[in-house]
Amino acid sequence: MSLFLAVVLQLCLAALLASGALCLYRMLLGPRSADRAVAFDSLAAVFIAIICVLCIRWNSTLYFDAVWILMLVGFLGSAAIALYLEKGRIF
Amino acid sequence: MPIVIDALVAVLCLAGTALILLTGIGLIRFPDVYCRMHAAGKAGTLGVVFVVVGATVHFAGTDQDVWVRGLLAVFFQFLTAPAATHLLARAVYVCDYPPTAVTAVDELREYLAPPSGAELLAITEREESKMLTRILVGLDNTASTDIAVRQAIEVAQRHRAQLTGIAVVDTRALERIGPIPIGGSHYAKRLREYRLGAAKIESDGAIARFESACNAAGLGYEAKQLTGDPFDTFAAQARYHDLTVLGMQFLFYHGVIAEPRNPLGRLMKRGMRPIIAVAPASRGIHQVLIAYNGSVEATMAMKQFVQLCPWPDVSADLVWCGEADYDARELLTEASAYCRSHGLAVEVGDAPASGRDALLDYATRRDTDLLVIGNSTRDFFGSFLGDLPGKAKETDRLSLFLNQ
Repeated sequence: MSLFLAVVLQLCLAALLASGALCLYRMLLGPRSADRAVAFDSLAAVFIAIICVLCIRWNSTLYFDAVWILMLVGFLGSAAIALYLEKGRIF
Repeated sequence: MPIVIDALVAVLCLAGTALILLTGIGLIRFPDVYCRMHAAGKAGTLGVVFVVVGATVHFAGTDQDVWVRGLLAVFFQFLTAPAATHLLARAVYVCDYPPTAVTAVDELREYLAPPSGAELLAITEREESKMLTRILVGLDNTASTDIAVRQAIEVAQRHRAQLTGIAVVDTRALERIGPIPIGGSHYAKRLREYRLGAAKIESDGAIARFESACNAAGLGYEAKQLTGDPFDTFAAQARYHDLTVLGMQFLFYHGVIAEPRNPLGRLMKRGMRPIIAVAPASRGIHQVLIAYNGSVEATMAMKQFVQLCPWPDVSADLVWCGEADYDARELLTEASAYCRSHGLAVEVGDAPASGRDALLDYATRRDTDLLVIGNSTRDFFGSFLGDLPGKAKETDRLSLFLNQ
């Protein structure tokens, strides 16, 4: 791995962490559960991106499967929250 | 060419990260949940796809199956992100989360928006009119029944109710002709046949007139001819109707044999309520007199009338009809407050009318069209019903709303 790529990846990691902090801040701020659900959705995206970047950084595909698993779990979570908000129950 | 691949990976990662950072900034800076969802949905999706593609490109040279996993992830992201955002947006909209004040277009409003105040009012009005959905009308061939049918049609149109008209032929009562002298059985048979035939013709004619009146009004109706004891039949039919309308001089035996005494009282005794007995010279209901004496029955009659509200725009008088009571004023005031809270324009009558004649005098003086009365004092009620159809001149405009 070239030094150039390593620096870029560190930069990306920092930006992703900043974005995750912003999402967390919105999650704390609310003001209503819908805002928190949206923030949760983007936090899942941030996690996925962090995993990808770390995979490249560590030069290992060990955690690459976590990407699409997290995607599915994030989707199910969002769908469940949406159903709960709309109907007051999930099933 | 590792340097080219590294450069490509770096560009993809930077682009994806930039988009995800924009998502975070949008989440903080945008004014309402729909704008935030826009930032999270679009920038987030594309950012993740860029980063995943970057990782896939990075490992493509060393690992063969990473292509599959990378493409799978991209595919899932494109599949799930729009669906999740859409579900969430819809749920938020349904939860009455107001968009920011600068929102210009809201196309979903007419499909999904929670009902506004005016719409809620319309819904409750529709619900209220559900109090009166089926009206039973007794049919015979007299002029007073024609007026009763006309008024029932008017009420049914106002409440979008359905009319059921029934004509009853009591075969057993008609065939009962008492002791037959020797050799008279032939004539007895002819008498029976004549009576049955006459009653049949009368009731067929009544049904035909009812049907043509309903058709002229364009109203949903059902007309039935039934046999059996008229009181039992009416009571059984009235069980599944909200209101029964009869002519004041209703002929239970179609005038073929002698009519029973106090028919309305007998109907009430069989648990039939509420009944509107329409006066033969009724000109529509505009002025109502509610006779009240503080008893449970009188209260029920008043409440039933107020809740059914067959004529919403009448004005009403509330008068004391029992013995003079020291707290009559107070009871009348409270009862009138109840009526007003249901939207009935009601006045408390000035002079307490104790006794039937005083009440009828009062009704005549006030030009009353309908008297609301409960079976309060049994004697009072009985004498009222027994005598009323006879008092033609004084009360031929006074219809009755009866409830026991």
